Amino acid sequence: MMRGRAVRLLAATLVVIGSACSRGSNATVPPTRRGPNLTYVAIGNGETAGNSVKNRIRSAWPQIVYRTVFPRSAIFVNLGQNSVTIDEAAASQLPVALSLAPDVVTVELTDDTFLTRDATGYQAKLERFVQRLQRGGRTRVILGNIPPGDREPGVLACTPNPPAGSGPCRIGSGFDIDASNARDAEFNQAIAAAAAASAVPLVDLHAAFLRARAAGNEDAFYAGNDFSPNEAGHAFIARQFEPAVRAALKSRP
Amino acid sequence: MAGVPISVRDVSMRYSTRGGAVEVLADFDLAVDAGERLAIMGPSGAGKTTLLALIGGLEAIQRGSIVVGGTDLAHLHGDALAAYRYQTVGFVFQHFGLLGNLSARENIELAMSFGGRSSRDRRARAQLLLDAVGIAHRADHRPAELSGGESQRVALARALANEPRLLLADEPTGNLDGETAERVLELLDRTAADSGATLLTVTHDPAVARRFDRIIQLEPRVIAS
Amino acid sequence: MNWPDAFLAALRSLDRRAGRAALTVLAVALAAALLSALLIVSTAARTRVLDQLAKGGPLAGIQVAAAAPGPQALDADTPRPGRPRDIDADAVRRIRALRSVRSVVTLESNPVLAVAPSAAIQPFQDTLAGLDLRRVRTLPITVIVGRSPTPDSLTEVAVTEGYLRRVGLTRATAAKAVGTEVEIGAPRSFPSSRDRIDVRGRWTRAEIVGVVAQQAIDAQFLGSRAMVRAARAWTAQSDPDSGFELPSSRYAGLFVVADGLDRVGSARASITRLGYSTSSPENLIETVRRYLRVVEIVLAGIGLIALAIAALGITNALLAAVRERRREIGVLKAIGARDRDVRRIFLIEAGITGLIGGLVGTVAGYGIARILGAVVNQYLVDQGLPGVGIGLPALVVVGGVLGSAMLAVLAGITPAQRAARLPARQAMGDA
Ligand SMILES: Nc1ncnc2c1ncn2[C@@H]1O[C@H](COP(=O)(O)OP(=O)(O)O)[C@@H](O)[C@H]1O
Ligand SMILES: [Mg+2]
Repeated sequence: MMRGRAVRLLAATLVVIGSACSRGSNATVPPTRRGPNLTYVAIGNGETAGNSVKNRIRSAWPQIVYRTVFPRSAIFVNLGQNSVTIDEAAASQLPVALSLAPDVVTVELTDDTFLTRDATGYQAKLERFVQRLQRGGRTRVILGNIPPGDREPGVLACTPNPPAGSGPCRIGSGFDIDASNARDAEFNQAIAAAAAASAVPLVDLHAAFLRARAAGNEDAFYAGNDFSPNEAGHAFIARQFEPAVRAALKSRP
Repeated sequence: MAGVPISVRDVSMRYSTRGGAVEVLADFDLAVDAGERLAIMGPSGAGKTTLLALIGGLEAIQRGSIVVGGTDLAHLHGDALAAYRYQTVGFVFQHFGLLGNLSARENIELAMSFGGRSSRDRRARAQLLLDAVGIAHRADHRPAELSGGESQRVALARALANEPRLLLADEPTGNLDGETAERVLELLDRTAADSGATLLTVTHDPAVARRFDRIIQLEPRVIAS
Repeated sequence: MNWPDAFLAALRSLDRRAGRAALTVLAVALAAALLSALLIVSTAARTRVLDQLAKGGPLAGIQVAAAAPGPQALDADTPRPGRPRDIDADAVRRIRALRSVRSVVTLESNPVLAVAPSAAIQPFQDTLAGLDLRRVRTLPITVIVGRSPTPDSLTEVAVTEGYLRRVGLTRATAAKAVGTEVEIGAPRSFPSSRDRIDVRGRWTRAEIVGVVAQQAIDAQFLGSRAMVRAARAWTAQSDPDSGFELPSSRYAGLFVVADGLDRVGSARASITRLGYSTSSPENLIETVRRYLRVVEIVLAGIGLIALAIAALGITNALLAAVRERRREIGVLKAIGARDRDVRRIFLIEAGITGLIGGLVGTVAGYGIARILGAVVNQYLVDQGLPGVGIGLPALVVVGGVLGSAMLAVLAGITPAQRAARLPARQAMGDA
């Protein structure tokens, strides 16, 4: 009887000591599995680089695409350069992009419209560019075209009747909007033709901006006396690219 | 098992107390045959208990000799004396002397635990003794839950546990009423007779004493020095 | 009488005097509780203090900087390093080969640009450090909240307190950073047609899985070796003519563990001879250890005095029991108990009292220490410091329980001896 009581006391004590000795772990975040190492490269101009926004690392549209469409394990390099012709990009951006063996590349090389102004030569160069990028189909290439330029504040400032609050005209008051629009249209045709020839998706920014214009939203995409989109504009462009990038990810070999 | 003969020769015993020396026994002689049943009588303070303590090996012999079954008790000390008490002697006390924290059965088993007996053996023998003294139904009760008569039966069973050849009972019925005392005495008588043990019983009751083979009378000898 | 019989007899007599036995046990338990609580708390404090000194790393840890030794190299725990000096694979091999060195963990780093989740925080430049995260426990890196990244992950980082400051958090609110995502970009300079350096980032995204306190590397992000190596590979391709400053050292630093605290000195001397600056908290640790030992001795002394008082209580209780049970002890002897049987019963009684008291006391002491620990931790967490872990050192358990039992047995010797010596005549009752 007494023996039983003593044994029980002993057992209880040992249990208490035992349970006290073991300590729980306090890992709060479960370990993530290593996903596929996708690589996304953005090739393009100053807009691609995000030159017009205050904080391009946060707000440039390719950075937004990377953040919102790609899995966390993806790697992203933005090669966009200010005022770059397709020839220059073929020398500076293309080799780096190829060295990264990217899975997805967005190409927004549209500065030739005011730098070389040679739409015919441009189409062939773009096709060649895309073909090299594709690496025999291992890279999904997505092309973007030129948004309309005639509502850019920097352009409006150079019209005969600039809107109130416009700054000084910085591209010469002789700037011909109609001629510029015509050139853009020509280049956009070249881009569309190149996309069709290379069988790569085309993100029609021109059409998207016109739709936004019709809805009365376009002016919010620019700020100040500028030719490039602001943060809202970049977010808008990112939204235009997202479906194509998603589709490209899905169709990856 | 046969009883042991006892030879007490020239035994003197004195206690020194604060009030002076008390001489209890002086040149005391006694011879008891093996298996004899002896009643010891005498007034209080005569030294009856002292005599039993000396013969039972509870008290060191100061002078004289006591030989029990051929063993001179004066030569026994320590463990040898304990072994003598364990193997040869069975005590019955007026106050029963049961351990209050043990049950009746455990009291009996305890008495068998100082030799090499197995616990199974002890258990079996305790049961046998409980049956023999008619107290089996009280086996698991503690002394506080037993009547005087029941307690003395347990004590008797305990005294018999190691099959003693000498039973020493110091006023075994002193704390019992007449009828109970009678039955305990009968039991003591019968068990002693059954085992053939030598029996020394201290009693004040002449009626009790008459049942024994022989009666000796101790006289007090108090000498203050 | 054999031990089990004696044990049972002792248990029975304790049972009979349950009230007094309980009080005696309580006295022992209180003393044992005091002693063990003091020891547990002082052990925890000691671990915590030494941990703090070693920054969570091993006490015999040495940090090697990618720099030449400063002028006062070995005299100080943390000498000022001299001019930068690259640590290459060969240097690591030679340090590893030193006799007084047990292990070497290499630290690699790369400059990065980081984007925190909140748009209000400007992207900022800092350093991503990487190392073999399997060995993070052996480094002077303490996890404040969360955990360290999994060793092979490319998508997990831990951040340091510098990051917390950057995003407006404190140690107390560090948990808010855990689970958020940062974008980390490794820079690479390209030849530019114009005069300025054209820098492009290789961006990765990572979840912050923990916040660590560390002084091993000057970096706000701690990731896997694979992560930092990928970043380095990108940055290393930078245009050499761009003027972009590249980290030249293969390793940003080393963390060396010496073969024991007493070998730290010789390991540091050897590494200094190889031409690298070292630092280690060895001198400080030694001094603090000596002070801590004194504190422990004083605390243990207090506990032991309490135990001694409890032991006197056992003696007293048993002496009273012996006096009360003179006749019973006589009866025991009359029915054949030897002196040693009687002694054994009383010693076991004392031992059981001590054992139960010790057990209860040690458990109670542990409880008290836990409560104290919780209070202290609350304070530490409020101060933004990592908490203390209250462990139950095996030595305290064994010492508390067995020590109490042994002390109790010692305390029982006198009463047991007195009981054993009682004349058997006592059985007959007082004449
Ligand atoms: N331990 C002792 N110390 C002192 N005197 C004792 C002791 N034991 C017995 N006596 C004395 O011895 C005498 C005889 O006692 P006892 O043998 O008990 O007598 P009885 O049993 O015949 O009444 C008594 O006077 C008693 O006071
Ligand atoms: Mg008497």
